[in-house]
Amino acid sequence: MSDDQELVTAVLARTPGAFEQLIARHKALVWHVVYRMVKHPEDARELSQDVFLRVHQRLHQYRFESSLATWIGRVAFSVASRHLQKKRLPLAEPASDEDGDALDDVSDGFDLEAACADRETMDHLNAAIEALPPLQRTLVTLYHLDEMGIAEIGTITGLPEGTVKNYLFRARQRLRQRLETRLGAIA
Amino acid sequence: MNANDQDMRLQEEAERAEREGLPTGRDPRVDRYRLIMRALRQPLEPRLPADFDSQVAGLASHRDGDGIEDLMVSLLLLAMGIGALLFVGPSIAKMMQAIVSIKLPALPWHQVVMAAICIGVVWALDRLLTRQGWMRTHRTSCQF
Repeated sequence: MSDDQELVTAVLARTPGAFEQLIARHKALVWHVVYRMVKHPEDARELSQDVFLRVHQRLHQYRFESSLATWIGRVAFSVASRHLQKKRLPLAEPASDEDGDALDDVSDGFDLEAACADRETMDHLNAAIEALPPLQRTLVTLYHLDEMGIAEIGTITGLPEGTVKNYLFRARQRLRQRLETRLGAIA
Repeated sequence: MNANDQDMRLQEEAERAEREGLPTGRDPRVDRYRLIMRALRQPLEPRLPADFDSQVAGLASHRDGDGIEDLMVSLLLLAMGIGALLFVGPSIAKMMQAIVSIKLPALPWHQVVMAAICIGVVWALDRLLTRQGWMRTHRTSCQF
């Protein structure tokens, strides 16, 4: 029996501590999805709680067709999306087929390690990540921080794989443009 | 190669370089994307409170308990309802008899039926035309 199956069976059997263990194992993912979507820490905390209560209520419906993390991620994404819909906040901006501006053929010595150590540059990048639309913010976090595959992210968000790839590409491109603005400003 | 294709290639190179821990400084354009990927891998701030797991698990088990409590309350309400019916049953029967014995004034039933049919036809037509999009186009053409 897999880890997921053992844990789900224990939770359904109301084994003491089992549900707490499930939360401990998946809370980072839920927080990443919900916080990235809604951005507001207090709302995100309440919604994360709602996600786990919903998971607890509906765990008997889980059919092991995907990993437990993916199933819980879907619940989190659905709760957060509904919250945004209620507040009439857009999930994503309309897709554009326009070409992004070309990367300058820079010959300057961009020092990656120095930039990483530069608090202001990293803060600027974090602000740029925060400024992305909710869906793109969530996708880049799932891909880079949670190290999820494109297919898994597609299952969580209900988006086709090509769309996920396109959103990821556009998000990183936009972050690169913001980074260049910053580098241009300090040059 | 257009700008997007070039960017795509740089992003893929940056991802591979980060995954394989390749040395930096070979291509500043790739290094910029590597910096972005590092920023994206940083843990999120703020975080969930430390006691989140136990708090939510406690709430969930409380809700389990609530299920039994809800059942008990429902059974109690049902018992009270049956008791009340037995108690006020005779009075209700008398009241019902009094209501039944009231004679309604004679209504022009054929007119009432005709009015109901008219309302029904108008409603059905409205639904049909709205579904076919006729109303929308008609309203739009009226506006302009």
